[in-house]
Amino acid sequence: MPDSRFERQLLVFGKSRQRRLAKSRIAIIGCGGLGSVAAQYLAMAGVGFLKLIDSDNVELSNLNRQFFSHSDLGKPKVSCLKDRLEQLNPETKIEAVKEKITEKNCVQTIRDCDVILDCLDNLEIRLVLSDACESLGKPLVHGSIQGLSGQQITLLKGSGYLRKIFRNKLPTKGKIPVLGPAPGFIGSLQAMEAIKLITGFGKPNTRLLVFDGERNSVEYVNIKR
Amino acid sequence: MRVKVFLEKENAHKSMEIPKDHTIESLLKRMKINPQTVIVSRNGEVVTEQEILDDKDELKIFSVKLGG
Repeated sequence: MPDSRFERQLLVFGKSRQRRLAKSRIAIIGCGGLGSVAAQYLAMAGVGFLKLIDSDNVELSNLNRQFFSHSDLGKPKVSCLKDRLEQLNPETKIEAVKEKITEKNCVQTIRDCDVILDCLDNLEIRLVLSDACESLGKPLVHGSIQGLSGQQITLLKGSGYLRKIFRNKLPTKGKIPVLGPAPGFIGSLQAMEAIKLITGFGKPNTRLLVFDGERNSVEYVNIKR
Repeated sequence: MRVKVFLEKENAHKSMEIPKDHTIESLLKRMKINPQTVIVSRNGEVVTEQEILDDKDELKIFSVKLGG
């Protein structure tokens, strides 16, 4: 791939960091509002390998916020996203995994990746993923949204991962209200976090970012070690 | 003792009088908030419901967000 493809980011962090991106392997668990955004930025940035994991097909109600089109309706999200990413950057290798993450398959599914993005939409599986990352010592880039708001934190080895934050919390029942730019914003942050982790450029966000788009506020909250 | 509380859901700041050894859990119960639906920070740090409050603590109560 010619340097000019990445000219603007080479000005940010240089060629050796770009080479690290080209060798990197990133897993995106959940290919909806968060995952479909994060995946595109990562492919465009020149990540070497993306593993997309989602068991769902594209539905009409997804289209206010997930980067799919009407022609994708009824098709597996991972297949549609793979096609899109291959157009964005033909040099990024994509593996599409149409499966549900469970306690039985999680470790095996993510083991061969360097960074894991939590782009899921339910607490139970988020905790399964978090536990798997903790057991493997893999960095977990968590994102979540509701309405016009969202949260993001990057969890590293020794942090206690998501159980430090979501200890004894109730799963959300029913449909979660979402305006498209909310996962757009948080999903973009997740992509940025993954790039920072791989390149070593910039500091990972290890505090809980709480963004409120309705009231225009941003808070960073520390997590006790 | 007095603590300052910010409730994200209502975008509201309150000052509340509390007894000594009051926990986060007790405060949430008083405010009729289910602890399982919120993340609470005390002076800028995420804490559990068992945390005992001090005079002049600043608390923020955020809704748990789980969408993706």
